Amino acid sequence: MTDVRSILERALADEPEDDLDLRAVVVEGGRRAARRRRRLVAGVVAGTCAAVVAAVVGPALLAGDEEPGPAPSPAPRVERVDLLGVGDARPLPSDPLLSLNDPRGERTSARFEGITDDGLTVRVTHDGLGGTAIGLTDPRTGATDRVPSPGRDVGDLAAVELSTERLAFLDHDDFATRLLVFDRAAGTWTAARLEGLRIGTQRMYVPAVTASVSPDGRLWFQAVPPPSKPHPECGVDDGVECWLQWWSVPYPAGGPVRREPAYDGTDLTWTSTGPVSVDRQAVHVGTDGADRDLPLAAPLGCDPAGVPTVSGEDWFALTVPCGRGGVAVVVYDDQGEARFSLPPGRLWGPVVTGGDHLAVAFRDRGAARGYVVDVTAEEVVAVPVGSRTTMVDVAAGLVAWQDPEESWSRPGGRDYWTAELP
Amino acid sequence: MARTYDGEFLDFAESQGSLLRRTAFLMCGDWERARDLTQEALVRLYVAWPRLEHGPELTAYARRTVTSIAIDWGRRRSSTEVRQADPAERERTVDPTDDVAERMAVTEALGALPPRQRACVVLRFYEDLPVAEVAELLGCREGTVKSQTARGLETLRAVLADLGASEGASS
Repeated sequence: MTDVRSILERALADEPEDDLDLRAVVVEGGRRAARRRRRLVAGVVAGTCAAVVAAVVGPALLAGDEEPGPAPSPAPRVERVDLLGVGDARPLPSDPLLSLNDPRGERTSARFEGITDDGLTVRVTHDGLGGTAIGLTDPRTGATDRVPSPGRDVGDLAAVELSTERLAFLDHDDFATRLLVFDRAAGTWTAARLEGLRIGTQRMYVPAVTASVSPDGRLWFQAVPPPSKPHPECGVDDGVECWLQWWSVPYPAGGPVRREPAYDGTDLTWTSTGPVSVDRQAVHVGTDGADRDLPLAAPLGCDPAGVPTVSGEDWFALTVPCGRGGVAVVVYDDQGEARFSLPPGRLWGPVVTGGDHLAVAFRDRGAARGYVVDVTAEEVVAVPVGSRTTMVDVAAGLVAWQDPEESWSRPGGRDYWTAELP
Repeated sequence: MARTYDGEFLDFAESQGSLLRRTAFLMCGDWERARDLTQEALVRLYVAWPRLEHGPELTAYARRTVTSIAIDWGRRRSSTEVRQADPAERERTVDPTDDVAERMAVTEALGALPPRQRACVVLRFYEDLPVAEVAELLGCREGTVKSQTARGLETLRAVLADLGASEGASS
């Protein structure tokens, strides 16, 4: 007698070679998510405007599902890639904060948060006993200034602004999210709890990577429900757009949070003049209250309906999916021209910006590579980032990245490296 | 927001895609269809990816998605098509020493099962899932899984016997 399993396995004996097209999966998945987002926007319109307006606008938005957008124009690739050798980089001096409370490094954990726009590296250190210290290190001299303590029992900090004026963090603990702002001139902290971001007794998570400041002085961010607590407004089959909600709060003073449902499910970033969002028709750019629609652009083989990520003084960047998990970074100028793109790769951490530079890391088959792009000069340098880290940062002509050979948690070691950009 | 999860999703899809496709094949009996079914499941998984807990339950979610699509497609197919073996295939003598003929016989026997019975048999005896987990996957009671599995095995045994396979099915 043969058991059932062996019978079933015999049926599989002529299995052909794996022909799954994961590129098609990602592109189609992205399209479906976008379709659902537009349906949700149509629903919001119908719910907030007069019925006669909804009857006209709603179907028009929905009809966009079926109508192909304008043919995307290819963005030129950056051809020149100047490599920045490891020899040009120097180790970030050990932060003396690491040994203050725990000389043997048994309890402390340090986390690199980025570079301020005046060129100081920011490390947040938890001593394991409820104490948190923040150090600003000048990588050129090795000197570290310790910022006054933000108080005890600070949770998991994530930076949203590291500037000459202030250091701002989202502070997550088990119960709430707070906006913590350190005024560098005054040397004082303010804390504002973000009320209302809860489902039942559980708080919603606020990914700091979604946070950006609008010209009218509000910090916008998305809030994500805990996985075990479906959002009451969302059905089982609803897509990601129903789960990711936009909120805003006065910034930097803090205050009551406000729901921003018009952008739910839409990827959004703010420039100094207005919001940037994308659908399959165009890139929508708000400029001092007037909206402009820019033509889509992408490298050949990529889906131009991308995700706005970061912006500079007169430019912004989109990530566009290119199949098999590849993502290209396309940079637009404020005149609406797609100026260049980085070759596609699998994104490894967020795209970050500092001044006229953006930094991005890619990872493929366990190996990582980082790039810093001078947006004005359209030049690229390569950075030897580690495959364990997702963090590379750039500001004030400096780039910082994690040592590719070291563990992120090794306190006191040369975990991070900095280099001056050429 | 940057969709930083594409890499994670692809790592999962690359590691699990072939396994899911095998399960899909056992549920539909056609490799091309199994590929389409698996891709459809992966698309749904991609859309839901940011809100899924990442861990062993991710594989269970993917399996559940493949199963529900297979049952759904199977129902649609069975309401519009009458599955019959190619006459030339039927003429063929099923020789147990002939691997190709044996695979055809097993595939045809599986194809004779209604989609839900087939899912029960595949999940219980290929995926080695306990009755309770199959019940959860299919959204039914454990008793239903037991009865559907028993009927499926009975049908499988009968069809294999009709087709001349020398070996029967036993659990």
